[in-house]
Amino acid sequence: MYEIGIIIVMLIIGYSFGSIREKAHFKSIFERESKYQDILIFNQKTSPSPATEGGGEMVQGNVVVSVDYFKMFVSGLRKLVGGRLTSYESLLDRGRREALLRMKAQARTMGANAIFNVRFETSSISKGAENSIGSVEVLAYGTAIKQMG
Amino acid sequence: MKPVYENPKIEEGINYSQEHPLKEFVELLLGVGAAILIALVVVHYSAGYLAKQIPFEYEQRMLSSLDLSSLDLGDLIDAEEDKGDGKANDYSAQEDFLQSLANKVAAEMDLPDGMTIKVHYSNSDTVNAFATLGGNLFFFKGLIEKMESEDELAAVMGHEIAHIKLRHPMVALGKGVTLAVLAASVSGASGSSAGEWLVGSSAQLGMLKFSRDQEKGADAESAKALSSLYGHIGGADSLFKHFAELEDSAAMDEDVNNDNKTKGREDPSAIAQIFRSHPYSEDRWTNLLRLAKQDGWSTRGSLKPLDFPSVSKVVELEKNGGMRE
Repeated sequence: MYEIGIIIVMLIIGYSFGSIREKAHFKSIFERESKYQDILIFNQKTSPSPATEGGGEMVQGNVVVSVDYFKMFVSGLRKLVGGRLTSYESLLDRGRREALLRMKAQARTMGANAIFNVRFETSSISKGAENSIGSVEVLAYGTAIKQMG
Repeated sequence: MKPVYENPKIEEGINYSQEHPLKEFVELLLGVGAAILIALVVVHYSAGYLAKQIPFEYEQRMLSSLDLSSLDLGDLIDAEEDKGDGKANDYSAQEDFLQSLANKVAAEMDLPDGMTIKVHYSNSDTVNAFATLGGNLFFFKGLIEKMESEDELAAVMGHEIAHIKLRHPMVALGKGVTLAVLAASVSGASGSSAGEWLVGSSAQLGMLKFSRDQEKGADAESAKALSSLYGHIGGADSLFKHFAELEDSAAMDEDVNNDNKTKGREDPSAIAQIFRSHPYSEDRWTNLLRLAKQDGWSTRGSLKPLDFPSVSKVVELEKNGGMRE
């Protein structure tokens, strides 16, 4: 019976810390997205207009992010019946956007205003190992250039 | 025309759900919980029914490969007490006494053909007795010391034999194994502890309830045997009275130790009951009196004194090089 108590406590901790972290993260993502709005990103390989100075520089943003116990528990139940794994969806959305923002921050230090050939790499850190909290690494990279508007 | 290159702001909530996470949690918990509950009920009844169909002979054969005599719990405990002379104590006098009482009680219990009872004695202070697979009963010294008459011991004996007669150890094994498989499948399918937890905790509560029902069933069988053996069920009556008193004083001790204002026994709520494997002795006593009234058993009668062979005598004999092996 103690197990139930421990799991309930873990769920409460996971839920409260997890949702506070997620809310704070999304808030920060929204803020920085408008801050870096002027750096344009595209997955097209080359820029239609020539770069004003120099060539392209490789920029990258990397992030490792983990779900909380509550989300893992919910996704465990979800996997029994199937359907949208919403708890992992928001995790990956945060991961991708954070990786883009870090890449943009790197581009900003170079004075670039556009990144072309943007690519994503996503890999699982936990690899579905039992009793481990699911965590992913998201890497975004591209070629930063300074171009005329 | 030159294409327009821009990054417009995209609406939120397309790539992730904006629904409250607790809503999904509650929905899943109720939905999956209900499905698991249905599966548990099916397993509970079918495994319980099927386990009873397994011939008792198979149960004994399964145990014979384990060689229970060498695995004897009593011996294991005695070996620990052994002072290094490499020889275990001999409790054959105690086991013979218990065995002959068991035979006497079992004769009144209308056991199916081929069902035999084997009693083992353990010289441990644990206040307990239990029945297990293959018709094996274990009696601990601690319990026997608490008995005030042969009738009381016979009431316990009848209760344990009833567990064997009703195939409770086999049913428990059948249910346990099936539930373990169910829990493992659910946990494998969900890839997390969530499903296993749901199965485990509901099964645990289910097993406790099931075990309490078994105890009540065994009490009824025991009282019936007692009535035909001694002509009254005074032994069971005084046994439960005795145990109810012990529980009360245990609850009181706990109360004093914990400095807790709510006394264990004074709140026999359904919640407290559901976490117990045995019903309270007082409830069992009430149950017994109800049965006695219904079946016309007398609860009054002279109790036969208990003449249990004392262990110290055996030890003395051993010292004189007597019965030692």
